[in-house]
Amino acid sequence: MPRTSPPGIDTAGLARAMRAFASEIGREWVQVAEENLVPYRDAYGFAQPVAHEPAGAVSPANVEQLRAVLRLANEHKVPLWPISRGKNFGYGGAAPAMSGTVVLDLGRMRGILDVDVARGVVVVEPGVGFFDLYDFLEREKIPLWASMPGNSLGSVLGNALEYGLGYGPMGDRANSLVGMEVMLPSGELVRTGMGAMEGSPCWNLFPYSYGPSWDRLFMQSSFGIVTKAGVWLYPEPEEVLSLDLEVPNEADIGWIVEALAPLRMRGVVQGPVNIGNFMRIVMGSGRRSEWAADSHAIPDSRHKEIMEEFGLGWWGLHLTFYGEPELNRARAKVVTDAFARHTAQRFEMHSWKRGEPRPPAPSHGVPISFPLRIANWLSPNGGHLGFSPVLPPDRTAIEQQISRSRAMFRKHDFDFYGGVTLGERHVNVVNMLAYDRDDAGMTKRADALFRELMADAEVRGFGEYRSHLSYMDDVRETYGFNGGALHRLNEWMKDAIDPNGILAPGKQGIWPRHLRDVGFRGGRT
Amino acid sequence: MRDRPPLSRIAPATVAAIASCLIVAGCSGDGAAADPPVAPQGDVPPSVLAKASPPARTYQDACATCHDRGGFGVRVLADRLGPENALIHVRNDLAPETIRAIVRNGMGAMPAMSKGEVSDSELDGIIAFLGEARTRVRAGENLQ
Repeated sequence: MPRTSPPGIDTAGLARAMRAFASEIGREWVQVAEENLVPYRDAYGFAQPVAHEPAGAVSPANVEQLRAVLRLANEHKVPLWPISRGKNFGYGGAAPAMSGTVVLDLGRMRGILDVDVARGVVVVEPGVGFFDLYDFLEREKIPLWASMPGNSLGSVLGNALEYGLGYGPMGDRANSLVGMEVMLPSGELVRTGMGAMEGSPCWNLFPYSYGPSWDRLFMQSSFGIVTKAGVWLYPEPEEVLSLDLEVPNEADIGWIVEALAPLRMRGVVQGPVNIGNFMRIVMGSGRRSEWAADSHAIPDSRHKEIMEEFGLGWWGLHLTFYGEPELNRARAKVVTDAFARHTAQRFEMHSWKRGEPRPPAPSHGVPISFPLRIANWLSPNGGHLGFSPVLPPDRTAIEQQISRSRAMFRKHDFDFYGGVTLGERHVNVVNMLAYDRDDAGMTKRADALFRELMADAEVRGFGEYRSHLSYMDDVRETYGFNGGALHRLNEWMKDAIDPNGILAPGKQGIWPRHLRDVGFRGGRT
Repeated sequence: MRDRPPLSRIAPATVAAIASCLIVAGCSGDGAAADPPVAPQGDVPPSVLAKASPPARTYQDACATCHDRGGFGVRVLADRLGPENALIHVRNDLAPETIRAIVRNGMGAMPAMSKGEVSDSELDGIIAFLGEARTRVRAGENLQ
């Protein structure tokens, strides 16, 4: 018997709905027992207060079963929380925003349906993970590389739909998603872009079509369920040339961004650039006990000693160039010339050539999982939470953001894991909090730090582009232009396309009409 | 059942490796060399159609992503239990029911895995594979 019911539905009503799901997709694929719902909780969230509790889970095997699940959810007015693989760790994992929601687990839909080798496109279902795609391409000896994230355990589609950013020329993954098949809450199946034509060979080749483009409306969205989509891959390069530099000072980040931003904009540097501070390495090393006997932040006075021990600078910069060696070297020279105007330090250069074993690094299209070790930094029951506001690639803005972030981390007694991801015309400043999820005092401080970071960024016009479930309403409210006009449009759209409010209530702070007055902060935990 | 890639050799989880493997070339790896790109053939783009139904989850794609291939689980277990206990496919102290309980409930930093991700029958196959791997280790075969 389910323990938690959705608002407005009693336990018996939920049980009837779960039985109806089971009759359509099989009892094995419908979970209501407490012990089978553990995977649908937030493994890295705060242990207290208890929030985001699933009422059950359903796992359809295909589009037909998915349609049946949606029909029944509409009939029984049961809310569903779609997940691809549920590995969005640090943002809620597989858990729903609202307790009492039934998780719609698409992990069984994991077909790699088609690969167009010449055009560099793969069509995948939501349950396909980065490791699955990598293994498939390797096994079939297909010379295409997927952009990999630092934690590669997640879904290729799910990550792109959540605006995941990563390594390599296709590192802006939302832009690499071209041509979707989407099931609307009514059960109707649509294809976006050229896929709206019968038999178009260009569905996954051209990102637009005729008329409005709907693809973005299905990203970070509760307007439909993406059942398959095209993902652009990068042709295996002849060479990957890497430039590495460790710079000594916290303030160096300003001139680095100033030097790189125009090169990124002009395409000299391909793909997002990831610059991280030394603590990202230290916190991933599992060696905290060597530096501190308690759980307090390691004091700044020890930073120099730690950097020397690890052979790191305050910031580490790793640039990679993909393609013909002549082009790579020409691009590298432009970068090194630009840096020579700021520092006498020289880049360390490495190269990988086609035919050599690939290093196990996402920059080379190889999936990894070890960066999750940050969850182990403070405790075997550790967790983490990311705050990554969007800023202009402006020297002063970045320097000041890092300085303010550091001060807030110090005030709340947390080690600062920081990073800067440079896009074509913006940066994301990564502020990663690691905590012991069972330490109530520490998680309270983590919550206070997150809220202070969010408020501090908002007054400067810097917004978060993704967030943990618990902060979705709060982040939504920071988007306040014209009294929150965009949110009103989202609500109008939600009511039109999902009149029963069955899909992902609370996702990105958008609630269906019947739950609008309560919301997450209103008590719907 | 998809083909099983060979179990990769695990390098010591040194800090230097962590730093360099995040983003730079130079780490040892087991990636296979790929063929050169295929050129378009006339007007019809070449297409490789994959299996219509996805393969069953195996130890290699459900577990080795963390517990082998230099993953998160290898490093955490090495920290806690020593490098000799870092690879679960060579350990003798994990009973089938223990494995089942850890997979379904998680342990420490390891999140639990749902039946949608790994079904009960797939988990049975994984446990059988681990038993077979241990037998081979006991027989003196080096799987590392």
